[in-house]
Amino acid sequence: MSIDVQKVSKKFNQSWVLKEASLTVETGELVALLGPSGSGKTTLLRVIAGLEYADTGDILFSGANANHVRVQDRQVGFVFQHYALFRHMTVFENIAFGLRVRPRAHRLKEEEIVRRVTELLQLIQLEQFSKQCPSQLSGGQRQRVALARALAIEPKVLLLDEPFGALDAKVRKELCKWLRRLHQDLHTTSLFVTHDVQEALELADRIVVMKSGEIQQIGTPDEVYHHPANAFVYQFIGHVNLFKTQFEEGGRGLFRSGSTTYVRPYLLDIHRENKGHTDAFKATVKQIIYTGLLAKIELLTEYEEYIEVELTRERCMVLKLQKEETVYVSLKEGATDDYAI
Amino acid sequence: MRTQALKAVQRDPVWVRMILIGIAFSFLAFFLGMPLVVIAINACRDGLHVYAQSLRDPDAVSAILLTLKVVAIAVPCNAIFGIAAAWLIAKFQFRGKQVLLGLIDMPFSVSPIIAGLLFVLAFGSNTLLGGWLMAHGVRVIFSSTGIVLATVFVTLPFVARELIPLMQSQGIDEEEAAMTMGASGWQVFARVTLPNIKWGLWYGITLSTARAVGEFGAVSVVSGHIRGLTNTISLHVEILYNEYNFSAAFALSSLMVLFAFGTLVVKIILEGKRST
Repeated sequence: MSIDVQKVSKKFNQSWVLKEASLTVETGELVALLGPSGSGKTTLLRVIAGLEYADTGDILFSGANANHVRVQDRQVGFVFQHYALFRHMTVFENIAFGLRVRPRAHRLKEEEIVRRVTELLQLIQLEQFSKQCPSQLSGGQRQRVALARALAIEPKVLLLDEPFGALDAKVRKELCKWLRRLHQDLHTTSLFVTHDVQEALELADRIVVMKSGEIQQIGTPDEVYHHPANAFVYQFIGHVNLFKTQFEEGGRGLFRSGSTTYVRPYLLDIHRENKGHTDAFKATVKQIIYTGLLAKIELLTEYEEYIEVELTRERCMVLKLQKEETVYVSLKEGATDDYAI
Repeated sequence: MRTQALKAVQRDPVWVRMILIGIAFSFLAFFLGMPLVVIAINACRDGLHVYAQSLRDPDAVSAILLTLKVVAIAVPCNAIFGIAAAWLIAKFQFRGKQVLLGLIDMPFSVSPIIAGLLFVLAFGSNTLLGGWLMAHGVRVIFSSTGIVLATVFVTLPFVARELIPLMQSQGIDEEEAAMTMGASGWQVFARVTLPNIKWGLWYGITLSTARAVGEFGAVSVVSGHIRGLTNTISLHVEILYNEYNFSAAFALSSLMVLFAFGTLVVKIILEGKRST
C-alpha cells in the first residue's frame, strides 16, 4: 500500500510543527524521515499513524483519504522508540495482542493465533523466550518483539519511530542489518524516523530530510549525499568544510565572491608543492587523526579558516605529513560532486 | 578476614547501634504496643463469655453491619473516581489540571469535623437542598446516607493519589501501541491500563478501606448517634465507653484492631508486589 502525504500542516502553541509537508511512499518502499530533534519527523509519523491529527492537509492510503479513519482502523504497524511492550504480558501474549482484540466476528481460532505467533517468534528468533516477560529481555530483543507485535496484525504499512534510538551502537548495527533483510523478504511499505544519518543512508531506499517542520529534500541516499538540495542538507548529511572568505570580482578557486562554498573533506587533496592547481591554497597542518582506513587532517588555511581533509591512510603515509608544516590544499582531480552552493 | 574488616569500617560502633535501635523499639512499644495490650486485656477482663456476648449484642451487630455497608459503598465509589481522576490527570493535558489536583487533596487538609459540618450545612432539613430531598423522602443527615457521603469525602484522595504518580510514570506508550493494533478504548483500558495499575489500585483501596472503617470525626457529626440505626463501630465504641461499659467497648475495639492488623498484612504484601 502506498502512502500519500499532501500539504500537511500542524501548529502547536503558535509555532509550526509541520509546514505543508508533502511526500509519497510507494508500495514496498523503505523510506527514512531524517532530521535533527524538533524537526517534526516524529509528529509526521504519528499523523500518518493516526495518533495525532493535522490541522490542514490530507493523508491518503492507496489513494483513499484516511483523514477521518481512526487509528484502530488504519491497520498500521507502529514501533515505538522505547518499545512500549505490555509489561504485564509474556512475549507470546504481547505478539498475540493485536489478534486477540479483534471484533469477535473476525477473531481467529486459538490454534490459528498460536500458529501465527509461533511463526513470528521464529522470524525474530526468540522462540525460547515466548513465556518470558519483557523486563527479562535485552533492549535489542525487546525491539524485535515490538516489531513482531506490529507485524502480527498484518499491517499495510509499518511505521517505526526511532526504532534503534534506545540501543547501544553494536546492537543498533545488527538490528539495522536484520531489519533490512526483513524488509527485503516482506516488502511491507515502511517509513522510519531517525536522527542518525548513517542509519538512514544504510537502510533506506529514499530519504526525506526535514528541518523545523519543513521537508528539505527527498531523494535516494546517493542523491541527498552527493547532490544536497540546500546548505542545511549539505551540513546535516556528513561532514562539510565551509569556505566563507570572500574575494571581490570572481573569487579565487574555492573561495567565491558573494557566497560560501561547501566541500566534503574527502573531495580535497593535499600536496607538498603547488603543481599548477589554480584553485590551490596554502594551509598549516594542525592535527592528524587516524580512524582506521581514513586519516582526518585538520588544517588552518591562509585565510584563517579551519578545514578538515580526509585522506586514505596510504596517501597520508606517502605525504609524511608533520604538524605545523605548510602544505597546499586543492580539490581532488575528477571530483564530480556539486561542491558549491 | 578482609570482608570482616571492611564491614567493621562500614558499620557504626556497637553502642551507637544499640542506643538508636533501643530508642526506636521503646518508642514503638510505648506508643503502639502498650495500647494494644491494654485493649486486649480490657476486652477479656470479664471473661471470654462476656467478650462474645458484647459482640453479639444487637446494637453492636448493627454497628458492625453499618460499618461494612458504608465501606461496601464508599470504597468502590472512591476506586472508580480515583481511577477516572488519575487517568484524566496522568494521560491528558488540559486547563485546570492543577485545580483538580488541589480539589482531590482537599479532604487531606480539611478537618473531618469540618467536612461533617459541610454536609450538615448542605443537606440539613432547614436548607434548600436538604428540605427538597426531605420532601421527596430522602433523608441525608442523621441517616446512613449521610454517613456514606461523609466517608466518601474523607477517603476520596487515597486511590487517586496512589494512582496518579504511577500512571504518570508509565506514560501512554502502551495505550497508543494497543490502539494501533486495533484495540477499542474499553479494550485498551481493560487489557492494558488496568493490569498495569492493578497493585497500586489494590494498595489505594486498602488504605481507603482502613480509613473508611476507622473514620470518626466526620461520621460523628452527620450520624446523630441513633443506636442500632446510625452508629458505626467507632461511634458505638464511644457510646459504650461513655456509659462505663468498658469490656464491651474494648471488645468492639479489639475487632477494629484485628482489622487493622489484617490491613497491615495486606499492605505489606501489596507494597512488595507494587514495587516489582
